[in-house]
Amino acid sequence: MLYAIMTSQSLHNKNKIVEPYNSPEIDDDSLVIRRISKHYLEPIKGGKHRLSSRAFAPSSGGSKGMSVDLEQLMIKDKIDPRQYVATPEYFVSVCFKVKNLRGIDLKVGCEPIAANPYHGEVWGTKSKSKRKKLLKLAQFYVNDYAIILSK
Amino acid sequence: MSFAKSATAFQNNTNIHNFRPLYNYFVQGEPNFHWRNNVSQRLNELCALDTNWDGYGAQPVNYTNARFVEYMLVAIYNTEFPTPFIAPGVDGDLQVEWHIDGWEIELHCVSPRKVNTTFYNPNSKEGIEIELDSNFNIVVKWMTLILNAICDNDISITA
Repeated sequence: MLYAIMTSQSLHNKNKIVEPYNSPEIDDDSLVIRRISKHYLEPIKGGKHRLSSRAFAPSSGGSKGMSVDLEQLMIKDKIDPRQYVATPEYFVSVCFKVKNLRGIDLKVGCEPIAANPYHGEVWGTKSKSKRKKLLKLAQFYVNDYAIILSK
Repeated sequence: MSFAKSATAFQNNTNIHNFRPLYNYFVQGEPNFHWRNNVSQRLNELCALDTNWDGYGAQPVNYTNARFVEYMLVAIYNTEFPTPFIAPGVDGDLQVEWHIDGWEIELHCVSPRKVNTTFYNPNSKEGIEIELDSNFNIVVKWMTLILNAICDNDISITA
């Protein structure tokens, strides 16, 4: 984790914002986790839900990426990722293999913050077509409420 | 002079029938669309979100954006369309969505007069993305296009 912090700090620009980059310390086979608030889930017919594309939209402030939790760093620190991303209470979370994200020209980097040392960013999700691809790639990571997604 | 007398005097001195009632132009009606209550309730819910509602520091929906979305929906709405789903954004923005049998319309309200719209036709791989300010005629056309396609295929779109 220390390496991740050092790397991301060295990538801060003049405005103390991390520029989009691919962290070499994040393995292609590792997972990034995205917590999904219930407000992104639209109930539809047959007891299923549709996930809004807003769930994968980037922030307009800060590093302008989509915030994620980096599983690999949590495992290194012997933190249970499933418990970590479900605390205090998040409806469900989905995950992506880093290789798949990089395969659609997205960048995955570390951006540890005070409230979350395992925080990372995925850059390049601004266009709707990219977010549609993410909807297809997303796999459940935590789904305690047995939500069924319509894709 | 009483009000009635002064009104009669005014009527006699002017051809009042040539006047068009101004209120028709300045006072908008408040149509009771079927979606109105659900949308208002949803917008209230999203404006009342706590900061960090998504676990990554998101802001609650901005009240001005919520009001703008309500006005926008009144302006564009086709009564045959189902109630839209409204998703919050992380920066106080919000997104109005319809997904009907493979057709998609999404109106991402970044701020009043800045709406990023996307339209997906199930028969084409790529969608259309346009930024709009206050003219939503294109959205009305998309809605009509979807309704016509749905009618041709005899598919129900009730929410």
